[in-house]
Amino acid sequence: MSAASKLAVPHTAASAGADFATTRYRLAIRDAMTEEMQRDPKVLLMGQDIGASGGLFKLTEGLFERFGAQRVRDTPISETATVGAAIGLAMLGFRPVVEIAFSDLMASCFDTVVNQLAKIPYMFGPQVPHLPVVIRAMTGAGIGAGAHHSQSLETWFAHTPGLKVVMPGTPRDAKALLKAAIRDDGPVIFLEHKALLRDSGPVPLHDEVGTIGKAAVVREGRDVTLVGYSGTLKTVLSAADQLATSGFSAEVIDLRSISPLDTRTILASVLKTGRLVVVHEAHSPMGVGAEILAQISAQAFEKLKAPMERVTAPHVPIPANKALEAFYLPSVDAVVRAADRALRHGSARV
Amino acid sequence: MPEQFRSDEALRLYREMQRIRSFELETINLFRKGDFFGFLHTSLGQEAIAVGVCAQLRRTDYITATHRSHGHLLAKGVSMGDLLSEIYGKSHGLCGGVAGHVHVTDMARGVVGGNGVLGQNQPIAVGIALGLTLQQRDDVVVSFFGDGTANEGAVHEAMNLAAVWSLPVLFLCERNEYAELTPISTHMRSASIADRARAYGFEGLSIDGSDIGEVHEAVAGAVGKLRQGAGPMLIEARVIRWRGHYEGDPQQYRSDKSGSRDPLDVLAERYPEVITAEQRRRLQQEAEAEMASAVAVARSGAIPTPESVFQPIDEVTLP
Repeated sequence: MSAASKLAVPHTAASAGADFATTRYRLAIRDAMTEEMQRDPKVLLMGQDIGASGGLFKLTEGLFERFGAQRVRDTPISETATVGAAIGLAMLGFRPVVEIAFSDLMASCFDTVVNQLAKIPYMFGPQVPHLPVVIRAMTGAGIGAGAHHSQSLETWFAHTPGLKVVMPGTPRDAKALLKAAIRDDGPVIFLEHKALLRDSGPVPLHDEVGTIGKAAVVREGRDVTLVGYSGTLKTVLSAADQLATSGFSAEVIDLRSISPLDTRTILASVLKTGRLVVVHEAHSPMGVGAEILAQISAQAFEKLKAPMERVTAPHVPIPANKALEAFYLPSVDAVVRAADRALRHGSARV
Repeated sequence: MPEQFRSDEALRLYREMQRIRSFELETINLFRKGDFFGFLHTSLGQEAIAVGVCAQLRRTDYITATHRSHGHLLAKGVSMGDLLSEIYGKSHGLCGGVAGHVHVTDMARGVVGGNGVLGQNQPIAVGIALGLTLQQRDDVVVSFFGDGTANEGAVHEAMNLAAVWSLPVLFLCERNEYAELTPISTHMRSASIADRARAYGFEGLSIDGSDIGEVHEAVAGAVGKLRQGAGPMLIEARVIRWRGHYEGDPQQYRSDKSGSRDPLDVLAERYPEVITAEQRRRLQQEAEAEMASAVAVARSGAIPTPESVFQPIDEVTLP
């Protein structure tokens, strides 16, 4: 049981020593932008309310004062023009970071994202080999914001070749992966979970740049693999704790990015445990879980000890009512029940 | 049209328009023969706009083209061979043979190719203009679009943003009276597209797009102001489309298939002693010879290998 709750290095509180500071998710994001703007004069920010107001969620607070109106640019409520302008800027060698307060609103600029941003580096061949644009947007539910401000739409973007989709679940990853996104030469959709903004965690003081496309094994275990990311990372960690009290050792994987999807890390874990539960806030049909289950069944079919499980939101819009929203979101109990079903197969549960 | 051009200028502008004319006519022939794939949209009858605009531009200025982009590209300095090779999908084409005729791009000459999604090039033009401004250059962006595209929301957003940030974008509407297969009477109530500029807080002009003298004069004035930081402008250049939306379009939506005046005739009639019938024949022969060489270039070389084109573009090397 003690082995089951062992945290891997990237998330251990014990590593928060002299070289770490305890930082909120929100501030980690702001710090990443601050440091990258400091490091590279080609980085600039655009978005609604991000200037003197510091952003709807205060993610750019202080940056306008520090870097000025040329590099921290308030835009009209014009998602298409803003993302399109970012593409034009990137063609000239700038590294624009666009803030769209809610990822739901990216439906308004969907063409600009999936037909322009994603395709131009391919379609224009050697003429525009790089298009370093980051779109930061708030994802997920949990604050009773309703069906236009709470969705998890990562699958829309992950389905489109040419976009990287990053979804950090911890302050440390939020900072390191946003830095990686800003330094990436291609387009990155960076989805920040609104329910994690006030979470605190250890963040290294040195210039840590993450690797987009690499999942993290945040807890080692041997009986069942639990996969979460973004808002569901905490859910699966809590489920792992509950399973541990029943004597089961769950391995927990944080995907950290959806595209590229690090199936190698998931596969290695499932080859060990033989059981898989994927948990996400997005809908189930055609989703991240569906993709993972398909890939694992193709690559590890004979090593599976139980049918693989998905725990997701139901296939209906998100209710604004907080009581219903709580029912809607994947719960720790639902994850434990799914893991239990898997554990009933094979020799794990006696 | 005032007597504004020196003899050599008039001749040069005529030659440029003739190059586009010959390119488009031969491209239609080649397309009918099945020499290349995809769609074909030509700019026949709109040569005075492309040439009149690009005559005012430097190599370091940018344009964003439309799906009728051949004229824009040739006028901005792209060679016939480079353009046609990409249309043929050859690996020595400007975009490595993957763009197709709509999207041919040549960044070294300040050309962002046409966009398959109408209206989406205007926000990109705004971003390029912002970049030029941040780089403290006095270069400008001309963003071509049509009357059909004028109804896209993206164009509205782009015009407003360019105005808010006072950016050097010349929005150049080639009003050819048809949005694909739909006449303007069906898709727009306002008599003038140029009038829309006032709503965004900048100047709009409506001109005859068949008359290169008018185009030249209007664009010279606009580009001069843009270089001085006056913010965006809109010019509506009126023509009537000569051909269908695409080559092969039966145009059942159109009883009168005659287009606007021939811009080559308009210029030649204005300068009869410079652009004589003999000169016109000679310039046509020159342009056709240039096109014949371009066809040879485009037919040479190989199509890209599947290996070079189907690399997953999100593939990363993990540690």
